[in-house]
Amino acid sequence: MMVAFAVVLLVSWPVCAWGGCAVTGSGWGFPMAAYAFFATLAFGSAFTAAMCRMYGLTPLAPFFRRAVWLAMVAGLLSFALLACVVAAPWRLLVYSAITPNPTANFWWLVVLTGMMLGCLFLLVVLLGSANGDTDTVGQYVFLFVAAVAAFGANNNLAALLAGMVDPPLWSGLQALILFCASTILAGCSLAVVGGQAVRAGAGRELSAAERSAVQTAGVVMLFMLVVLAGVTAFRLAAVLRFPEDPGHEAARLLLTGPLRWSFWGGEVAVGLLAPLACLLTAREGRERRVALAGGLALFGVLLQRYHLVLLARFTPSLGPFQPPAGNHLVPSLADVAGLVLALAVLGLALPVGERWLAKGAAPPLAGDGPPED
Amino acid sequence: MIRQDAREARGWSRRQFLWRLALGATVVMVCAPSPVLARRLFGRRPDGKALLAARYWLAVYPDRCTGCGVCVAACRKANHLPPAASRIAIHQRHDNRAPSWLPVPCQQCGEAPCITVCPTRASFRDEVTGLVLIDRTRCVGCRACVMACPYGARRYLPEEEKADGCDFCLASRLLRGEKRPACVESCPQQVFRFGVEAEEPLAQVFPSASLMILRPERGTRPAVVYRFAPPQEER
Repeated sequence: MMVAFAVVLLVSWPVCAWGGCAVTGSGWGFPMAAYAFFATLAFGSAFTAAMCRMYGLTPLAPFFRRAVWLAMVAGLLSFALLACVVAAPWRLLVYSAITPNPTANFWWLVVLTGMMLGCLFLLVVLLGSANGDTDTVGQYVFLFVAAVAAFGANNNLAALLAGMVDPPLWSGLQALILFCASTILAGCSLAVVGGQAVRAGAGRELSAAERSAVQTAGVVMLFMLVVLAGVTAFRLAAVLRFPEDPGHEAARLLLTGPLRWSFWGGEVAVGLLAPLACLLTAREGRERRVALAGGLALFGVLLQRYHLVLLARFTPSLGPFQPPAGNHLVPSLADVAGLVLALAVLGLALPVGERWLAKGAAPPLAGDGPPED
Repeated sequence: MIRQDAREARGWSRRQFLWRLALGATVVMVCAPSPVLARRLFGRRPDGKALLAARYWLAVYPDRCTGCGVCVAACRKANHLPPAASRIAIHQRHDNRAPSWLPVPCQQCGEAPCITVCPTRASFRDEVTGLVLIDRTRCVGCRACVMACPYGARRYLPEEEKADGCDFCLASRLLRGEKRPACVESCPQQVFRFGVEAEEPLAQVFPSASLMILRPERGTRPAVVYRFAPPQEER
């Protein structure tokens, strides 16, 4: 598995570097969507870690260490991708510190993501050197602060992406629900897909606790997919019902405009309905189907972010005086290579984290033995 | 067994769970809408209540515009911009009606979204002139202001990797003794009329005219006003 990821990395690196994976025009493009996707993965993984340790979803406990590690790596990669969006990323960090603007979502996003990453780094250090003790107060404090920072950062990402669509399609509580649901979905999906990749790489079967965790994650994913489908259908139906709704132009671009194939085929069919079908038919012992649903859901989340970026660029705000959208909808090869490169790094980091955190892992609990079948 | 006992001992009672949930929700409620709170606390400037935040105004007569592009070229030359860049955009109608054009410079908003969204305070309001300007040393090229501008009046200059916007030629002309911006000076159709609020208040120059602003629903209070079908006496 690591060889495959290394090959992907070696192939995508020159394409990304020489092709110039960066936002080139006046508006944001695919690199911004890739950044938002990786930030979502980081926030969702932090949520998953917090849910299984602090908020009662104890069956997800086998995902705890993996979720913490993936949240940290995905957060770092999101900052790396942010460098493709911002012309001077180092100066962004410096000026965010010395001339902060608390009215800017971007500033809060950077600060809260940094706070989350700091806490996760300390948590990883503690987990890697805890000698099996996973109940220290420090771990709870770092996890709690990281989860709260992730929640705030996720809300600011929602405001940043949804707020840039003008006139807005998503706003207020609906945008909050949309982003929270898709972030939790992404976190659980990444944990399941990562677990499946590790299991396949190591060539071993899932333990009983891991199977239970996958099933529980499947239930959470199913619930989040239903919430996503519900809020999306409700919002779009409301826009179609009331043409005076400010989001009408953006919805038209999405439903019947140049984005219709990507929306209906990619975001709805592949990213929403297909994982729903997979999860509804995944019974006990079909963990691969849950992982497949997770992969499809992650693709849907990526497309959802990209659609928001495109809507922010192309929604006509000056009526007939703005040219219709249609150009630059397809990302360049270098931009896609940047995303693939980040995914390859995430895939390479996954077994490293499993090995590093396994040093401090607790001995298996009763019932964590090999599968009974 | 020891770990199992520890896990059971860690189990929360209903009261503990609800207390921690309330604590978490309180923190989240405080942290989550932070930009909204911050906007309320810090976002309003002392000059925010004035009719015009800027001390200058610009009236545009779109009916006179022929889309010749002289103002665009003059803007580029006066402000030493790269080729194909300009601080004013001439938008043409793209539907099937009669051709018409809409010149859109920076609207110099009283409630400027570009100032609100800039993470490094590179977009700021000049205290002396009231104009929305860009501190080019602080601009990191994140394009947040470009995306946030309701009028699409901010540009990103790839050559300089910074955002750029109209400042009514403050640096290139007004501070050097010129009376009017380059676009106003150069337009052969007299599409623009530039004024200093202290010398000729906008409300007095157009006492009964039906002035329009772009996208009034955004509540940005722009200093650029539009007047369709202008009377001849105001030329």
